[in-house]
Formats: sequence, structure tokens, C-alpha cells
Amino acid sequence: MKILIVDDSKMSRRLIRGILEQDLNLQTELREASNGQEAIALLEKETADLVFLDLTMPGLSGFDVLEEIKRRSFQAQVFVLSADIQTKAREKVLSLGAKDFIAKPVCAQVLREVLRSHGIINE
Amino acid sequence: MMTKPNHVLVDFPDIILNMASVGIVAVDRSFNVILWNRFMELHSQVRQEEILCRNLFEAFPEINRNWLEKKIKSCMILRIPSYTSWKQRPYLFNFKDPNRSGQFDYMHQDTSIWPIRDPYGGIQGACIAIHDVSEIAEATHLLETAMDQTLALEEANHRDGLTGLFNRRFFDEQISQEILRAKRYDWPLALAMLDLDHFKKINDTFGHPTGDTVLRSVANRLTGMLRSSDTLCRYGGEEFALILPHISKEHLLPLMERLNSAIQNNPVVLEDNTQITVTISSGVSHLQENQMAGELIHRADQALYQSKQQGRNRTSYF
Amino acid sequence: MESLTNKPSFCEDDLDAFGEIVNIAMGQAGSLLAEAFSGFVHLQVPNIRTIKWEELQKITDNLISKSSTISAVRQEFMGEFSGFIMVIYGCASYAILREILGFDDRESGEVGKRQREELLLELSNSLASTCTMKIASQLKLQCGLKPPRIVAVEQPSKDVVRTLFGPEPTWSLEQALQIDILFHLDGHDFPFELLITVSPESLPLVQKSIARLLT
Repeated sequence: MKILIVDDSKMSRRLIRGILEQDLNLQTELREASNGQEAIALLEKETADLVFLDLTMPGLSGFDVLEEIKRRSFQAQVFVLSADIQTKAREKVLSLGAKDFIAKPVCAQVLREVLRSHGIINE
Repeated sequence: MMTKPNHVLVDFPDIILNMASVGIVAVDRSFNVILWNRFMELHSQVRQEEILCRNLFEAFPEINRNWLEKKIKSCMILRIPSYTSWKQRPYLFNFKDPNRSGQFDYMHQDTSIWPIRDPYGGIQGACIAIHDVSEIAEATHLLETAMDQTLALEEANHRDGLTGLFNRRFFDEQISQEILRAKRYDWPLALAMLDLDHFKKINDTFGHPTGDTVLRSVANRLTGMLRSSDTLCRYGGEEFALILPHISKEHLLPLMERLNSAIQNNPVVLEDNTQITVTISSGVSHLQENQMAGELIHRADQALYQSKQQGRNRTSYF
Repeated sequence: MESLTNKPSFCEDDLDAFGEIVNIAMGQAGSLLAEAFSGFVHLQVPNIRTIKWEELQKITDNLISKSSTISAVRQEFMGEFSGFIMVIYGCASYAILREILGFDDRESGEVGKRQREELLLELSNSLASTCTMKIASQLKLQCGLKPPRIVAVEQPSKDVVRTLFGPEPTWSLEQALQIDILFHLDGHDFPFELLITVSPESLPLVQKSIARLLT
């Protein structure tokens, strides 16, 4: 499974990577981007099956990335991970085509549950 | 090694209930009283059994209900403590001042309010702690009153009763300070001595009360034309001393001209509409290196003498 | 000068991790504040930096000079996570503060002045306590807050600059952490600023917490 993690925080990327590789034990091909531009550039080169996307980043925000993914019809399924847990943000990302919204801090149980509910993993 | 406290012997609710130094009131989410300790009983003269399960605001209608409800609600949502200080709101509960010193009619209170959590993480109500800070309030009040009086007294000691200008005593202190400051910061300092021309004639013609009116009017007019950093003092009889920090000769002489003409062109109007035209003579001098107050005053006085000699209503610079 | 401090300094990774923790805490604080104040209050992604006392003075001078008069409230927090919070209001609109807090007293004169002070204190406490407690709880560190107190009410900015922080603390050469959060109130022209300064004493504990969260 090809996965792209987009987050300006190194710690955040490390935490998500840790959950995917160690807790969920997924066989993945993982790439990371620390901002929106980088993410788009990586997706242009090679598509991803899953994208874990942060919302607040310097430069292109998560919302911008979602719009760009939609506009260019990239086939990736996007999961938004954000600290902005107000309902407005959740509604907005879902309307922009995100598969789901996960509140930060992310933990293994929640991530497993979400991926299972979307049929991405089946344990 | 620490020994575990014996839970059978330590009854925390009882300790809180019997606490007489701090008031503890707890309310549920509908503001019904669920805890009322000894302090509250003693100061309100309402017993626990009378108030438990009653709505706090119905039992104490003098409490500002809207304000306290809003405050408690936001502290329950945010899960943080909230405070009130006697400085902004003297009290929450209207209790008698237990100190009986007669300063205040009521107990001053600081309060803190915090949410009550249940074991499942929910918020079941709020707890209010009431601290009697009457002694602090009283001491603060006494201190403030004393300071106001000291300031007023100091102010009165520095003022001339007739004109409201600074007096000679203040001038003597101020001129020395201004000289030190001018030397420290290396800026120019000027002193002007001003004298009302023919003041004796005004007194003789119109009487002393009119002479006083003229002095007051001249003082007012001069004050209105000065910078806030300038100090105008009544030096004696009809003589004024004006300390002008941070002013060069190019600005000083035109300023003195303006003062002279303002006095000359605006006659003093008496109650019966009699107009008296007065003029002033002045002498100015800048502080020289190594000069002391006495020498500076002397030079300005000499310049004033020169103005008088040359026909009055003018300024001389020395 | 650097060599005089033997306290561990915050490296870039620590700062990144701390930034993420603060963002998460602000997300939680933002959602609580929206509930408490009916969505009137919005907070902006915080700016986090390590600073020394002298720099803090400069930053604040700069901040204050943006407005001709300012009001400010200060609040200390203590425990494992300790420091102080300064809430700086440019031109405060009391009508809007009253609306947000739902307080309806509106007297004139001396009583009115105290009611306006109370509005500043109440809003400051709500924002400062919520944000600080959320950060502390993300770090799993104990923290308590003292009551807030007024530092200035509508004073000319130039008069406040020197008095705002009081005497210089003993940690002037050491590193502190500063979190700068901008708040916007609906209908209020001026945003206001919440500065959380984390004391150098608690930085080792903060670093330990971060390390724990990363494993």
C-alpha cells in the first residue's frame, strides 16, 4: 500500500508512521511531505493509495491540497488529521472530498477503527 | 518511609464542613446548594439544613444572578477555575464585617469558583470558596487615604495661596534639581525673572483686592502659554520666576516677547468691567558651566533690572 | 553569553514537537471556547519561540507600540508546568466583551470602571486558563493558575512598556519558551494577544514529556 503523510510537524509525521508501521503492522511504502507544495509534487510523480493530511500548514493549507487533489482527479483516499476539532472544519473537509476527519492527537485505536470502517484494513 | 494515611480516620468532607476560616458553597448544575460549611452558617446565620437543596439565588436574592450564572456556566464548560476580587466586586455574599472596626459595613471577599468533576469526567456543578479579605481591604483603604492626604499636603506646601502657582520654597528645590538635570543630560536651562510694572500704582489706585485680581489674572495667562516642562513660581510680591529647561536662545527670546505682548494686549477685566492694562518686565539668563543656582538667579535679576532701567515692558538677556 | 547557561536548550525537534502539542491543545481550547462563548472567540495558530528576557521585552515593546493605549492582564501558573501569561488588549470594546461574557451590569463612574476591569479579568482568565491547562494536560504535567490581576487599563502604551513585566526575573540569561496566540472576537476590530511564557525551570520537564510522547 502506497501512503503519503503530509504534516509540517516532524513529530506528527513520526507518530503517524509509528502507528501505521508498528501498531497496525501495515506493509506499506511510506513517503512524507512537510508542506502542501511538496505533497502535490510527490503525488504528481507517483500516486498514493492513502494520504494522511494535516490542515494547518504554512503555504498551501490542507484545504488547498484537498482542492488540488480533487481538481487533478488524483485517485488517493484522503484522511484529514487536525487539531482544529470544531465542526466547521470537519464539515468543510468532508465536502472537499476527504474520506474522514480524525482529531489530533491521533492514537492507534482510533486510526485502526477509522481505517477498518472504510474497509482499508480488515482485522 | 511514608505511612499511608488512615482513610477511616480522615473524613475530608467533615473537615471542609467544619472549616470556619474559608466559606465553601457547592451548587449542582441547577444552582441548588449541595454543600454549605460552618463559615457560611456563621456569617449568613442560615443553617445547613435550611439551605441544602434550595436554589442559591432564591435563598440569596441579593446575589447578581445573571452575572454569577454566566460565570459558573463558562467555568463548567471550560473546566477551569474562575475568580472574583474585592477590588472589582467587594463581595459575593452580603455578610457583616466581622472586624467591627467601623470602616466598612460589609465583609470584603475574594472568591474562587471551580467545576466539580464526577469520577466519569463529567461536570456535576461548581464549588465556590469565599475568603474574608476585610483586613486587607481595610489596610489598603487606610494606606490609600493616607497617601492621598500626604500628596495633598505636599501639594499645598508647594503652592502659593493667592495665585495657585508654585511658591518660593518649591522654586528653591526645583531650580537646584533642574540644574543637576541640565548638567547630567547636557541640555540648556534658562531662568526668567518677571516683574509686574508699576504694581504699587495699581494697588494705590484700585485697592489691594484689585491688585490680587491682577496678580491672579497675569499668573493664569502666563501659565496657559507655557510648556508642561516649564515651572512658573511666585517668587515674591509681584515677582515671578520661570524655569525653562531644554530651550535655546533662539526660542527663548521670542517666547519672552510673546509673554510680554500677551500681558500687554489683554487687559485685566474687573467685575465692574473696568479694564486695567498691565505690562511686565523680564530678565533671562542661560545656565553657564560651573554655575550654581544663586549665580543664575543673580544674572537673571540683573537682566530684569536692566529692563526696568530701559523703560520697562521688555526683556533683557544676560 | 550562551555558555553561562547550563540548562538544556530546546533543539529544533523539541520545538517542532512542542509546537504540535500546543496546536492540539489550542484545537481543544478553541472548541471549548466556542461552546462557552457561542462561537464569538476565534484563535489563530500560535507562534512559538525560545526567548531570553531581553528579547521578551523587545517583542512586547513592539506589540504594545501597535496601539496608542492598552489594557493588560497578567496571570501566573505554577506547578510542574510554570510561567506567566500576559493578555494584551489594544483598544478594548467593552460592549463586545459584555456581549461575549453575557454580563449585563453597566454602571457609570467608579463602579463602572470596576465592572470594565472585571470584564477584562474574566475574559483573560477564561482564555489564559483554558489554553494553559490544555497545554499542561497534553504534556501530562501538573499545573495550577493564580487569580489574574490587572496591570494596565487603557494606559498610554508608552507608559506601560516599562511597567508591564515588573522587575526583571532571575532567569534573564536563561532560555524560556514563549507561545504567542492571537485572538479574534466577532465584531471586535482589534485582535488581542495572549503571551504564555514558560519558565526555564519547567523546560526540563517539558522536554521529558515530549520524549515520553514520542516513544
